[in-house]
Amino acid sequence: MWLLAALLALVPVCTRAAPVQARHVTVDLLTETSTVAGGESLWVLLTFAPETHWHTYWKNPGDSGLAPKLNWQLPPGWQAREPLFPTPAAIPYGSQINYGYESESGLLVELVPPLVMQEENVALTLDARWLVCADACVPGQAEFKLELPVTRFAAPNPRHKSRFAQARFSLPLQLDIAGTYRVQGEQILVDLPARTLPRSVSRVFIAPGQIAEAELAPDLTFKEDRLLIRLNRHSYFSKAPPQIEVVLELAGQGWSVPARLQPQGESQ
Amino acid sequence: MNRLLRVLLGVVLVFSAGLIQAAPKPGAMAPDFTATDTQGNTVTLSKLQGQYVVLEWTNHLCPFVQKHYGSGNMQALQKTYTDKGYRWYSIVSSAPGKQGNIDAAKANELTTSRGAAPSGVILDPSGAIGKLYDARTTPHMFILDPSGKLVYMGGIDSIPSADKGDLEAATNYVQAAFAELEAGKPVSTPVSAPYGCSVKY
Repeated sequence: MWLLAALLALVPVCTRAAPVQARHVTVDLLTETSTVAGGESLWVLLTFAPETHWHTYWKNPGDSGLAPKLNWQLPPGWQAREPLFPTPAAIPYGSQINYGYESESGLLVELVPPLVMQEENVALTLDARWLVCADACVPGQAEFKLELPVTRFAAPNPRHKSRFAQARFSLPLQLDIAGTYRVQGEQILVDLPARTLPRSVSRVFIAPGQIAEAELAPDLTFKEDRLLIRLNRHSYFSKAPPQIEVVLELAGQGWSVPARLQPQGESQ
Repeated sequence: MNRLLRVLLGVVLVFSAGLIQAAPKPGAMAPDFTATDTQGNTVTLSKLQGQYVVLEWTNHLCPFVQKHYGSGNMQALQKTYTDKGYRWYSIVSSAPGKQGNIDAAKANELTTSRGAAPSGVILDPSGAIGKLYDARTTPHMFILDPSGKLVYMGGIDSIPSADKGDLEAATNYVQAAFAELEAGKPVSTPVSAPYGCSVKY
């Protein structure tokens, strides 16, 4: 046992796993702070930098493709939240449309440690799987290991500051409003309070998948202080979830609004 | 060469005269088509009535297809159901010059080398059959009941991934649908998310 402890003490602290040069994409994992403290969330950033003409995917990949899958191995008492995805782009392929990123994108993940940590160092392991596509698709997988000292307060990591600022800037802005949606025949009708939305938004992304068909020019109507969105129900729609996420986009900036299911329209 | 020509001519489709086909929908009649498979046999869907039919969109270079062929999963399903007399057609809608576009000789070689057991492989380089079914991914599965109605359309299983390691935990929707159909029950999951590479139209 003492031997193991001695060996562990020799492990260098590591706030950035070496970037993985995978086929057609470079994948990297960074931590926002260089140490961790009990009860203080640790933010990490998983970045995908695809080669020119290649792309990775949003949480709803659209007509084909696959969102990255993250599988964490964390010490007892730790929790990993769902990754936050940057505002996607619509990537047409023939008559099909995918949602994703044709340049570098970063998934932000909040890791929540327990309130109290006795150990001197913590080891965090991420098994990341992704799909990168151009005309062809190539799946990839990498394991990232991070090792961070436990301190009373988490120490900022100035070298990663701008990367995290950029990643947060790329997330759709979470607006403190909520709308509704309903399924009416072959259509999905979304109704959002629009006072805080720019009137020139042009793109709509819906998550999860299989709710609405991907469309490059969706039917958007601003009516007084509401935004009404009429989308074609997805051919593979099977069940309306209690809530969907509506991401609106204009020139790379996104706005995210939750829309709750309005059950009245369902029977039509 | 003669044979190749015949096959190429064969994929020129004969649609029901002037009928505009609606998008496929579970419970509705499946769109009909006539094509020639890579062995030179003419396949007309509406003439197959009385048997279950599986349509499988495929592209041998797509990693999602490789997951199901590399593990033997797809071949095992083909064998199980063709042994029961059901018909199973693998359809390649890759356009000329696009990934997965193959000729009849290559298709037959793939069937042999992979130990596949479909009733036939249909080449659809114009994408006409693919678009008729709005096939989006490889793989993408459709099941027709003996009356020609579509009873299932969507993914091959419940875990969208290119990892063979996920097969065991996944619910195979083709298997699940046939288990219910054979027990005289309706298919409880008639639609699921198709996942995979885009069809290379």
